[in-house]
Amino acid sequence: MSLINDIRAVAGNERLPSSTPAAPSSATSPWRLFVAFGLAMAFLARITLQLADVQLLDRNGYAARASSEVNQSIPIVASRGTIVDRFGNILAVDVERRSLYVVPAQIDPGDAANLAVRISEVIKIPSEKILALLIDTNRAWVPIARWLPDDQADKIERFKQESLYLVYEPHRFYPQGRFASHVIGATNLNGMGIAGVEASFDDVLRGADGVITAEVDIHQQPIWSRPYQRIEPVNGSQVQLTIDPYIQHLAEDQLSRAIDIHGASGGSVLVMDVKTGAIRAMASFPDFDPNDYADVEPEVYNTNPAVGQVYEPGSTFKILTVAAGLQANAFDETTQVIDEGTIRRYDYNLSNYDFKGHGVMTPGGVLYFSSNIGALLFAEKMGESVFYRAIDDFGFGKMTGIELPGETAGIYWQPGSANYTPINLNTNSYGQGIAVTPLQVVRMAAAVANNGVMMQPYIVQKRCNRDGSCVDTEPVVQSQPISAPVALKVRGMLMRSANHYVNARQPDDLWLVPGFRVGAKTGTSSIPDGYGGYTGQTIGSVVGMAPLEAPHYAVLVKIDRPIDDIYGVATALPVYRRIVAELMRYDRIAPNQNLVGPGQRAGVVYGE
Amino acid sequence: MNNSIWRDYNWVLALALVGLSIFSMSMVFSATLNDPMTQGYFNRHLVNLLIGFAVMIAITFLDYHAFQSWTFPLYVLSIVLLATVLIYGNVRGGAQSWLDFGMRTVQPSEPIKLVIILVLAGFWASQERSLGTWRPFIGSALLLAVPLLLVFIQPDFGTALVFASVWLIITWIAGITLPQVLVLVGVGSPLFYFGWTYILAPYQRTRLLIFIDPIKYDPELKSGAWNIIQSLTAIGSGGLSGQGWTNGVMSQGNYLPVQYSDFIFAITGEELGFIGSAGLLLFLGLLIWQSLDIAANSRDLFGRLIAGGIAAMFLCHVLVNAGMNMSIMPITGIPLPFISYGGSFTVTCFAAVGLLQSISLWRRRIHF
Repeated sequence: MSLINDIRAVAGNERLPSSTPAAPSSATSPWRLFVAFGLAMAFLARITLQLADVQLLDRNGYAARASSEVNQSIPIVASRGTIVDRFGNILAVDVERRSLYVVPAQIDPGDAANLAVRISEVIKIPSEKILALLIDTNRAWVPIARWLPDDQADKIERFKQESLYLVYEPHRFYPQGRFASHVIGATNLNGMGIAGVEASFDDVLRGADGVITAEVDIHQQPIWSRPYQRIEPVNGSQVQLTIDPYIQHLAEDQLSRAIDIHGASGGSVLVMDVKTGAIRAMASFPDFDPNDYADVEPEVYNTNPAVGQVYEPGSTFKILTVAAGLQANAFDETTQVIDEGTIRRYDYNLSNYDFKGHGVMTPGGVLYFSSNIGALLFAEKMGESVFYRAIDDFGFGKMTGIELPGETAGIYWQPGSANYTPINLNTNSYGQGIAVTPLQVVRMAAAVANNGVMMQPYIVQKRCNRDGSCVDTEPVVQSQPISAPVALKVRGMLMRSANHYVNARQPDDLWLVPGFRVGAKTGTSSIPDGYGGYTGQTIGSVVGMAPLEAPHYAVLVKIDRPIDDIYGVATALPVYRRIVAELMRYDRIAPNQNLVGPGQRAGVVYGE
Repeated sequence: MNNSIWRDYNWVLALALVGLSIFSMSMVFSATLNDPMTQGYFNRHLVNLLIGFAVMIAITFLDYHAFQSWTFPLYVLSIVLLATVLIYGNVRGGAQSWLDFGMRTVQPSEPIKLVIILVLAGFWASQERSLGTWRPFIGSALLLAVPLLLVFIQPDFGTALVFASVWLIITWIAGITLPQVLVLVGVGSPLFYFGWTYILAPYQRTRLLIFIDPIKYDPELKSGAWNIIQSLTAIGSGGLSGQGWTNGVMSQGNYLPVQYSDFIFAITGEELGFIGSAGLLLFLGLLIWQSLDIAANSRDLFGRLIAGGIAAMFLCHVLVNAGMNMSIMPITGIPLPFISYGGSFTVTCFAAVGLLQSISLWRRRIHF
């Protein structure tokens, strides 16, 4: 009760008259205030002492810590160079896309879960993952999703959340999707080329990132009121390919149709300019969309089948056997051998594909009938050294040096090597027991077309340096495996061989591509099982050149594992004919009416 | 108003106030310069200073004895406000301390500090004839207990500490006896132990201990050690003369949490250096010294205890805030008097100085 009285007393306490000062009672004697004063000043002195300790004694350590925390280098990402086709159409380009970042320190913890759900609805990432990033206050600057599509970025922008930042960042974009994907390649999330020209010309395309050296605030943004240093990025340089958009589209279109029709597992088409070695088309399936390369298996985007996969060339290799013997004068075009359909060598029975003999056989006949026995007998006439020197001269077993990653050299066994046995000469003569790449085979055909001069294949037409100067690729002669007269003779044989494919019986009066002289040789190769035998699956291929009067293009068509027809004649040849017919039209070469057979129309191969 | 009144006006205190106001405007300006989240704070701070100035002038020329008859209703109102805050208040910085009045939010515990001073001083003055006995000692302790408990629950340890300090100094000046000191220690120690062990959550204990060794008590830098390290870094890198006003890189980079209030001392340290910070402490010391001087020269016990309580409030704020900035005091977010941004406390401080001047104007002329 006394407390209540006391409190009442507080309320009712009488005001002391101001004019009559009263001395404080002895209990509040001044020494108590002196002690209070002394204590207060002692505490303040202690604070000041601490201040001196921190600011005067420990200054350097703290200053160093402040400097290391505040001085930051922020990269300015250089824009990657574009990749264009031979006419300048863009195949790969950097575009600015918005990336979503969050500053967790600015997130209201009570609202974080709600915000995570809203973001999740837009960018389709599970909200739990987003929430974990939003509340990760150990980090100042956290990326949530990079390179958002514009519609998603716009929606996030409308959230008007100060903690969310949309930052424009360069992002690789392939406007033509799957087009020439094996040539162009792809870039990974770090902007590094991982396949195709993107990989082989990575340092040219990449450019040099710039940097802002600045004092940054807690959100890692430069403090505007402080000086900073900016080194501008040097953007990457442009790379122009030799790829001709029309021919590449033609090749991809025809190849994909054939693969569909024949239920094939894949295939390649190569078109090469025989005079320069420029690759005008390099199409392979299965292909991929470089924008979403991760959607396919790594083997698909990591391997360009046209340069990185080997196969047995089969009968197409007989071109080399005939050319090599003619070049070495081991025989001439009139030399005859007898093809009995089967022959025994080194305890093996070797035979034609149909086991039928064709009787008297010239080198031209070997190509015309695709005679294994004929090729074998002519190879024996020239001998090991001539045959294998020709293989070497044509560049088999060595990389072509094209500017693409993942090229493989192919394999064959040289006389004298551990795996070589004499029967290799016989089987190699018709393209078995040797592994080659499609590019090597089309280059061989190109050399025959180019009067025996073999050009270095290349796929980059022009590269530009950082200083803006550009260098055009100059065609380079790699070798001359055969002379011009020999090449001419072989082309003549290939023309008869080509036409033979469309003539079921004598006389040979139909033309492979009516109105034009075209060379072609088919091949059917069995796919080795890796244990010295064969799998039973086949690869059908055709290689040739056109027009024979003034050769311009060498073309290879290869269809892997067709399920409805195992011969190259049925699978690859129609593709070859259509591509060559279109190439002649594209080159505006007038069809010769004398080169049109009964029932044929000049330049028309469709519907056959 | 005649000459003698102006002669009794405490010009040193007024000078200290001018100095502190200049510091205040400069540092709030610099602390909010580069942060988009605190745009407009400087203008609002100017308004707060003006309101505070007006309140101070009004109280200065009011006889402070007028408050003596208001202490009981003010005390009841304070209890009601503190209870209201607990039920309807907004939570900020982990404590439920703010009342939202639409246009502005107010932190009632700030002016209540002054009310507690008036209440305790009034109570002791009413017991002047029984000073040194147990009656006023126990009574004042009970008067303190209710608001102390209410702010403790918020939880606002800083304000609780201020309440306790104010009570201690007022009780000391009024005349605590040795047996009472012994009882205080005897009752206080177990209470403290009980509260520390059973009422505080582990994270609260950690937060209060961090200053002893930030890395040891908060190795993940999540409970406040990071703040302390940033603050020390800013102060330390200021050196003797500082990096220049509005030129502190930690300050302008907004590395310091609530740098316009709790860590404004660190901004001063970085930008104005030891010279500037010690100067600021000098002005604050002047403020406390003059408060105690006014207490010593007060004409009556009521005025003396008010001035002593105000000195205790200022001292407690300065020690805890500056000490926290330099890691020699626990992290309790209480502002630096006159310097920190924040309307409720700024106006409270000016009102306190108004009270001091009023006491000074009504004093008997004795100096020590």
